[in-house]
Amino acid sequence: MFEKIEKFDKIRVWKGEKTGWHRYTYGIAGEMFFRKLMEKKFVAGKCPECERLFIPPRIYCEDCFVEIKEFVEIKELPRVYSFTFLFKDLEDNLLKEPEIVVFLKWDNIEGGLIHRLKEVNIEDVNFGLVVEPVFKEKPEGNINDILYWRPKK
Amino acid sequence: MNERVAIIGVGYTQLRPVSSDVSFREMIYEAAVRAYEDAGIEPRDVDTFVAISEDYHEGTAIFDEYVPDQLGAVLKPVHTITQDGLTALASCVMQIKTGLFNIAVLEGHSKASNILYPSHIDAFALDPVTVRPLGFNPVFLAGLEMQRFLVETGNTEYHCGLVVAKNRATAIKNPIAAYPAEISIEDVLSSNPVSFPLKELDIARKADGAFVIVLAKESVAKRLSPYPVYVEGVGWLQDTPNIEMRDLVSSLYLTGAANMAYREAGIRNPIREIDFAEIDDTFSYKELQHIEFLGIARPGESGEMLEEGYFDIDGEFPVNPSGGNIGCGYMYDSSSLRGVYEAVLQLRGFAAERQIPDVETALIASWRGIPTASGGVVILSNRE
Repeated sequence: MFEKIEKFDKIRVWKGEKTGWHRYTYGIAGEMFFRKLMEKKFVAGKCPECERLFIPPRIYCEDCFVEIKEFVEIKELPRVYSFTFLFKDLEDNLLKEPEIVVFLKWDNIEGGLIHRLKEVNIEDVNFGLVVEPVFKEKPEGNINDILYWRPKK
Repeated sequence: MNERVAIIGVGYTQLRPVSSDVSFREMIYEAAVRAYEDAGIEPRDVDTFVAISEDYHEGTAIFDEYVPDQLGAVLKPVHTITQDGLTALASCVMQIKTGLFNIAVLEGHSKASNILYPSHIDAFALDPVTVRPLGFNPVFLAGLEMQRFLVETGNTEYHCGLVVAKNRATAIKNPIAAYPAEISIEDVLSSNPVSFPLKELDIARKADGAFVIVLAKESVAKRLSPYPVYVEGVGWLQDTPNIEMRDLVSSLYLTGAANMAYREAGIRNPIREIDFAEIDDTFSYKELQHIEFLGIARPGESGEMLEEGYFDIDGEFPVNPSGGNIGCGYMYDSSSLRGVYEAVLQLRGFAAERQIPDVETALIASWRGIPTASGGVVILSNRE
């Protein structure tokens, strides 16, 4: 093939970056979910066809492809469905302390939430652990209104 | 058009952890020159070109505009697919099957070493409202899935370590591989935790490189190539983008894509009718999960079969004779083209030291990586 560069000090690079600024609207179902979250409540959407509940709610059922108009408050607490101890930040540096990232599911509800778990002994983190949310004092209507989850007291 | 479609040329570059001495264009040019030489054609003979790229991986907006020149495709029909390599291969097959095109060219490359903070890009693919604001390194998703998959199926971290040891060692015999190594299962198990149970050595490291593949309809292929490799079946699909809706155990995208490809290829019993496979192993556990959800092993049995040597290069059903993504390097959406390249070499009988004897049919299966649940399957054969 063609000749190759052999000397490293002959190599030049231009470093560039691209920053984007966006706003992400929540939509009808998202507004419903996050407004309720500001009241420290959780809502699920109910599919009129299969009658299953979904968190986070959407205005359509992704299986039946029908419109969802009914939103139901969920009073039960979710359980840990899966968990991991995350050691790296977004620049792939070691975190000072690993984060416990959890996938939470409510019984008899489709979907769930990804979030963080605290106030727990590592040995106690397991599938099925029932957890409760710890909310920010002044919720703003986003997923970080939940500061973290902890085992139900 | 009822004629089959065949691969008649393959071109590659050496896969490397860094490639500071060449631009992405020069890598593609090198692979293209090799592919055209291999197929015995000139770019002017090509009717249509398909490339794969993702703007954020390239660091350039509207990257598809940067495709034609280094492929000899200026003023020719070209389009870019922002999807996995096997979906792009399916696009080439479909274009030829229309009867309007005789020869198609497929290009995929990776300049991963140019990406300074790859996890930021993966994070940008997470749901901007429900997941991304949490600020986690998106590798957490592999950690969550590995945890649930291992517990539900009974496969173990030891089996995952075995996948890594097998693929790194197999890569020693692959001259284009970026990460060949003799490492032990204990090395994998004691490597630094990244998103426990996922550890550093469970993760395929990234590589730079390019592949170009020339396809033609059967009558043209027979005229041009002494060893055409036929595309017997293709399948591709996407599972839900909503992470919360997945079970983090199954890879239904591959079950669906495989069923589509098996049906077209007339395959009823994959393990009997297919001789070897190149299967996505971007994370060690993914090789086991993908083997099971392709129907090659029953649920929960892949780890034990691996332990018995079933998937070794000299085993009953070799998986990743190239060394896979773990041994060769992860090339984002182009990783599966390395699988196609390996399968073509094997089916031609040109795989030298790592040649599997008497092979007729190969399976290639891909996954698009975090946070996707998309994949593709291609069945190739050398049968006339």
